[in-house]
Amino acid sequence: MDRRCILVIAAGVLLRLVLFTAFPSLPTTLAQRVEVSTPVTSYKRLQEGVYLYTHGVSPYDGGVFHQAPLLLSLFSILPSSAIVTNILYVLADLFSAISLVKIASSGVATATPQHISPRKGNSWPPWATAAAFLFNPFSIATCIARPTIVFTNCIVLHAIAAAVQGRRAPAFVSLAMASYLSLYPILLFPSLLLLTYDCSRANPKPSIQAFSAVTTVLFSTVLIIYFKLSHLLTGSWEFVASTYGVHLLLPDLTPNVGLWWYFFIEMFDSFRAFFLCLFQLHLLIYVPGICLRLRKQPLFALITLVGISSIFKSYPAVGDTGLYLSLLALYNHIFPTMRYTFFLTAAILYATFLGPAFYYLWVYAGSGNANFFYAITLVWSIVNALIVADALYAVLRDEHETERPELIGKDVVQI
Amino acid sequence: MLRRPTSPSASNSSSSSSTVAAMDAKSASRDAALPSGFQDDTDAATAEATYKLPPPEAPETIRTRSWVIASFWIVAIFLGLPLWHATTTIYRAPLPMQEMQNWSEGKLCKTEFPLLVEVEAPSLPEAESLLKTVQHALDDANDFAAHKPHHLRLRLAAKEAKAAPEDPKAEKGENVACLLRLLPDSRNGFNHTVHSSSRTVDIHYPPPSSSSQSSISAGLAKFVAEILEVLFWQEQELIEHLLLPQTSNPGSLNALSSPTADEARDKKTPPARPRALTADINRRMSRVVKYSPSYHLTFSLFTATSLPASWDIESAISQYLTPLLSALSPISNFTISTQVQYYASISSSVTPTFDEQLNAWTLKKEDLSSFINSAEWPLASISNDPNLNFILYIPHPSMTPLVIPSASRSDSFLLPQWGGVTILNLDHNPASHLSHATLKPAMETFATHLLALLGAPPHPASLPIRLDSLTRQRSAEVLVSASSTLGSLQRLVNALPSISIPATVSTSVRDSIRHLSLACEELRKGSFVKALEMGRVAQEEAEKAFFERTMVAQVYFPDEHKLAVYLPLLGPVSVPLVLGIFREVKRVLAERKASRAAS
Repeated sequence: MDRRCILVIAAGVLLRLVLFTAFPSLPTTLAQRVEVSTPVTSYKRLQEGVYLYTHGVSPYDGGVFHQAPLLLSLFSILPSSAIVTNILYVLADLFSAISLVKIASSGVATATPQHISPRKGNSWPPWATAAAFLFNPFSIATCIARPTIVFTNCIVLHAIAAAVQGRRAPAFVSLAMASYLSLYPILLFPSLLLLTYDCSRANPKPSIQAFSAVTTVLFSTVLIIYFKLSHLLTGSWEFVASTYGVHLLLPDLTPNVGLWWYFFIEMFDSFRAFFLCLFQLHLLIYVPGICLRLRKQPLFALITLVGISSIFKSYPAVGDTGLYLSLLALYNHIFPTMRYTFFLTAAILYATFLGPAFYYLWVYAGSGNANFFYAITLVWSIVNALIVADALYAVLRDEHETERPELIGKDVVQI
Repeated sequence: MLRRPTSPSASNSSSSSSTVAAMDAKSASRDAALPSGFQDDTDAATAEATYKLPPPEAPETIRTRSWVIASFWIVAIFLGLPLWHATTTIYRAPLPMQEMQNWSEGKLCKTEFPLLVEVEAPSLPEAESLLKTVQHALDDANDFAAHKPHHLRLRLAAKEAKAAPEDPKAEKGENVACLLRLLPDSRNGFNHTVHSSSRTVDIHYPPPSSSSQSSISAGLAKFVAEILEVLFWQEQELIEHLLLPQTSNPGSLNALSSPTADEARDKKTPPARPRALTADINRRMSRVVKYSPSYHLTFSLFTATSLPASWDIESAISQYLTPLLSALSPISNFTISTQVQYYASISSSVTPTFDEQLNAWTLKKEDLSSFINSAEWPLASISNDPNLNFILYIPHPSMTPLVIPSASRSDSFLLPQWGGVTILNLDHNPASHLSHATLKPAMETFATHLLALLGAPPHPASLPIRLDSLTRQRSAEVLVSASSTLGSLQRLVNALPSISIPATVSTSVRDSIRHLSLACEELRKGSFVKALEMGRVAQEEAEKAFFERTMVAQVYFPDEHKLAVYLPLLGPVSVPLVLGIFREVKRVLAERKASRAAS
């Protein structure tokens, strides 16, 4: 890690600390924004859960707290001062940035054993990737609002950093933890498996079948250990229904930036179960296809899946998009091949500014209705989907140009 | 697997592909991010001129593509379809349909009301043979009209009953419908008196002279049979009316009227049935409030001035009404509230006129229905139970006496299914307090009103007999209502195959049927209070099943609407899936053709 990296990271950490201390009311304000905190990540609900837990009441009884028991025990051990909590969140972001620097330094984004991008020379230095994360407004807002998704993101990044170094055990222990905390990272398992396999330096390399069998056993064993530990901590299994059940069945229809809440408010009761299955299946259906198509660049498959689940998961927040955009910065060398960069940047700014405005009109001013906010979340989701699609296009084109270098710089037309 | 960018398979000479990279020498220097639409026409023209056919796809690429398409389809088919099936299958708990239908058609329970009549004839030597004659006459009458639900059975009172004839209920249970006491009476010939507070009916007959022993007993037998007919005919007609499947009685739950019920009615209705009688029963039934296990009674004093300021309602209720209410307790329970309202004016549309002849203010008959000033009088009920209002109205001194001109100069009237009103005319300088004695006639009227509103027959004079009659009538009512609800549910379930039937409906239906048959059994045994209790449960369960919320919600969701539910989301999602597989099939076919042509 060079000096510039350290400088950037220090600046990012400083920025967060300054925001925490200079604007003491900012964390509370942001924590109440539906765009940043969701029912499954909210810091306020976490505090409620910790309070109930330390007072000997089951935190899962009231239907307010939907987060994993290990978080409970972590926060009940910590001294209950705002400074310690804030420092913990800043540290999480610090580790995320370090993980990103590690990923960027490994060069997996530009060169995998099966693919070397012709634009290798264009890629940014590692500090720039770290900066893209640390100074991303979505990441900053998420860190200040202190939802627990910060930890999930940190752990996912750590898992990727371990994977690009070919260290299987830390990668999958981390992924198991991320899945345990917020369920959807489990979708990253196949792509992370491919990434780890491609980057493993074992000699001789085991076959992919043997490798994935061992990894699956490792992953599920770790997951079982986490569950058993949670069971020991809370004394019952009711946390399963109250955390993963909420992710899967969407009982809390608080608005968020995702597509689910409005849809399920309007849904006929008899079709609710069907459409819940359909929406979850919709997330799952991309996993094998993308892993197969992007077999040569498993890191990008993983990033695309992060992007897809940040759009279509049941309780998304801007923190998910922040993670996706930071990871996408690793692929900066393909940005010139993206077609709609200007439009997408403009549209994402549009949605970012109009979202809170429309929410204000609906909830506080009363001059708008739910459709205002829903319309802007639709725009937000479309923009994100277009970013995912455009990046995918750019990477595929990059891949195509390694095969046909004479086409570099040509327009592609479908006929 | 490894493909170096330095060794491209660049042969520009093959045939089939769907995407073509159009090379354009002029745009090569341009930013590649420019969308294709931005090309101007001349560029396009030159592009067309310099088309090159793309190289064939590598077999590896084709394989990957097939796998990607297959992976989407595998998830859709092996996960999507089972989930779709599991989540949209409508759960229909099994219902005993045949049984429900049988109940609604009245096949399972022949509603009978066996009435045991005890006869006490201390001074009649051949009472046994007399009873036989009477029984024979009654049976004959029953055979003639086979549809009659009542079965009168005579029995000679046991010895103990003779000792304490006043209290037959304690010894015989509830089974004795009435006790006939045959007493010789030389003065008046044949006549009968009905005791108003017990089930005893005294029958007086002229003492037999030794010469005409048999003629006396024949005459007596005829007389007893007549008396029994008179005692029970009103109730009998009423119950018969109730048991006819779904006539015009109000509150019927027959939502989907079926032709079979109409037919059955046509068949069963005796053609000779007097129209006036049916009209009378209908009129009486239309007054009766819907049956409920508990009612709320509101007693209100409305006075046109500030006087009287108070009334002795509590003691009046406890003295004149509580005995009646406790007698009614096996049928329904009552809660009571009272209120006083001063300066209560009657509706402005009602203007009494002064009648010189009567020397009184009179209310016209058509005014009575609008007498209640519902805009100003606080009569809204706070209770969940059906509310019955009893209003004591004291007119303004300048408008006293206020009467309702009818055959008899009356001062009270009954509002069907709502309550009763009594006008109390006080003298010109009224006391500030209405004493208990002043309230007595009003309370008596209210008691009559209450019985009429609950549906007790006005005849005979004996209160226990009337209450028994009310019990029988109410149990017939709940049985009919529960059975017809079950029938409606059965028809509904048959008519709408798309509604779901939750397990709770199934249990409720089974419970209802079980209680119906228990009630039927109790009826046959003659314990009508228990039958009413069972019937009440049966009715409640049947209604719970019929009005199940989740079931009703589905009624309005026909199959055609499912298209509108599925298509907006699944349509767009399935287009790329279907197109993907379509293209793949096309490619395979073309490849086959090419290979056949080559060989």
